[in-house]
Amino acid sequence: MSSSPTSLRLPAGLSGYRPTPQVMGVVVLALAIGIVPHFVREYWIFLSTAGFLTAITVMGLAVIIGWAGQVTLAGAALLGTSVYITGYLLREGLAGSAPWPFIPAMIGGVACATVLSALVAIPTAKFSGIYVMVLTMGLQVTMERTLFTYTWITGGAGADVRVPRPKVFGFHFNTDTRYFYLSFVVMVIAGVLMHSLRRSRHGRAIHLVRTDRQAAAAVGISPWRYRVIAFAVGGFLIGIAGAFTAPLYESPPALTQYILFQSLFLLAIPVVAGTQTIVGLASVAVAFQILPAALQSHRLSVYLLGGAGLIGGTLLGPRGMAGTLLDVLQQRRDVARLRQVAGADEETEAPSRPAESRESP
Amino acid sequence: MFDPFIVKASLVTGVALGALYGILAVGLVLSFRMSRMVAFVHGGIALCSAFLYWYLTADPARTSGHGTNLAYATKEWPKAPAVILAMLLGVGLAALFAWVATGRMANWPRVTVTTFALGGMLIFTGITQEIWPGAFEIVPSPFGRGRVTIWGANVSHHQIAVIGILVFLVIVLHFVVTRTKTGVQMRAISDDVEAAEIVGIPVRKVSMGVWCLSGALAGLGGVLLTPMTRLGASVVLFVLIRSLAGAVLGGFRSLPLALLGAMLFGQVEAHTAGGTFGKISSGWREVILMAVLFLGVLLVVRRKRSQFRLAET
Repeated sequence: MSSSPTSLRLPAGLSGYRPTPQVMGVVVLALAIGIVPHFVREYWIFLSTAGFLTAITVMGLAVIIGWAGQVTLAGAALLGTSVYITGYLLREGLAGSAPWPFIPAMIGGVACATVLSALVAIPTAKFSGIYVMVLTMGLQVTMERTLFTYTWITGGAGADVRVPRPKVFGFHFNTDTRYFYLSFVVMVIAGVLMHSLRRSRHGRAIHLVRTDRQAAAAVGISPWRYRVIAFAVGGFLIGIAGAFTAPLYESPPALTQYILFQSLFLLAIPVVAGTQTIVGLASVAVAFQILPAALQSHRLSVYLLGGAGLIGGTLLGPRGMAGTLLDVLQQRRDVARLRQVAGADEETEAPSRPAESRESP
Repeated sequence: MFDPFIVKASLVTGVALGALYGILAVGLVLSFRMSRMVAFVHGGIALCSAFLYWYLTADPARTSGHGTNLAYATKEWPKAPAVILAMLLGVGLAALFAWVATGRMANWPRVTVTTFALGGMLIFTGITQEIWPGAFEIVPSPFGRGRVTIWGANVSHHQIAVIGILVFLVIVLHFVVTRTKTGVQMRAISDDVEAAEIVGIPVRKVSMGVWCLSGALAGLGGVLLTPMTRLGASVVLFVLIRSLAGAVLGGFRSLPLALLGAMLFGQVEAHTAGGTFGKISSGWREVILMAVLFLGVLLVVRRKRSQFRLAET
């Protein structure tokens, strides 16, 4: 059949190309991200932006929880540290200097979160999981009662304290839509970084330390060192999320967003999603951010959502919701392939049967 | 130089605080010994029981949502039945939780079941926050408002009662654990679940029983804690962390060490807050307590490692 002259012709190299569900998913997502902000209210754009930043936070937690196998209950403390330090540098600068531009301020916030996370890991990396949980819980409460109470850093609750939106290379991200795209790009970059790290030598080493400490030590991988690295990488990603959260609200966010309960809420996301797929993590994070607002009429409490997430995620197992979904899809694909193979076998066997019957005694 | 009056007053306050942390720490150690999980869920249970006790006993005119919300139409019941009901609620919630935790999750990794316990805590906290959002209430003590002077320190009847309850609890638990069949079964399960099952100990039944007891203690802890502070989710959680710290010092296994740890935290907190070492801000107080907790964990881990090495040799 000849194609009409107006029909779209694929390049010769792509003529046999059939997009995989992942590629289709990315295309649909990119289209949605491009189109949706022009048709929804600013409130939802703002919430989605917060969801992207939560996704970056959760990627950091996934490195610590999923890769290193340590449960940290100080996620909100690390996030809050980066938010408030970045916000302070953007507002005031350092030691009476002028307010810092966004990139140096971001580096300051990220560095604080990374160092704090690594500092916690240095002494605790040799402890078993439950002690790390208790100690990180202690760190969370300590941060709540120290850094987060200094209003000269946090900015207090005053409505007149403004945190400016960033201006990068002359481009001002001063509208919610612009900030939405910026956050989305940062989330994608964080996801790609995480993906590359997981496949790298260091990523595999972190995984091996989790799977079998003794085997890791036997092949010359220091479990202590790689646990500290995992905590530092986790802190770095959480720091990035915090640095971009600081100007999101344009005023200092409330302390209640960085208390222990928020840490548990954040912890629920990788537990529900599992840490197998980054897209799964990001999707659940955005859903967790948007759901309470979307179901406001039903008064869906974040405590209940977080609790249900932790319980449901634990019962689902270590692969979480995304992993389970992938397993189901894989299972369906396998069944379809088996059926296809069985069908092909039947077709090839069908004409040969009479011959076989003739040969048989 | 130290002011002897302040030192004495802080000592007495520290004992009362330590006793409060101790009651919750006992529950945490008991449930850890049965299920190998850090029972964060006790924080949620304590909060639910405390809210129930407050709802049954408080004067409605003194609640923050008076006249605006039915949930704040408190009942002014006598204190004793309210305490019993609050403890029974603790038993019920703990049984509900243990039904799952000691069933299909019995052999799951420790960190996983502990994460499950965190989920339980959030759910129970969420329920109270749904009914009484943002509540921060004054709770009447079951032992009245009376005060006495002991060793120069002004101590409330409530604080004395808390210490008395802990002493009673320690005596009863010591008797149960060392002298009764149930105690032997508890120790057997704590040492080796599989071996206990093989010799015919009803592991699930005993575990459920211990969880119910620890739930009652968490409920009682919630009731005793809130008249000393206030009723709010963050307050109860804050005290749970102190109790956890005490339990950590006992390696989550030793009741006497957990009590000692709770007392140590009570004393450190009372002396740093009371002014024995001069004026210390709440932030620095937290840093000091965190340092004590960290040193405690370090000691416990070192002790465990040396025990492991001894066992290997």
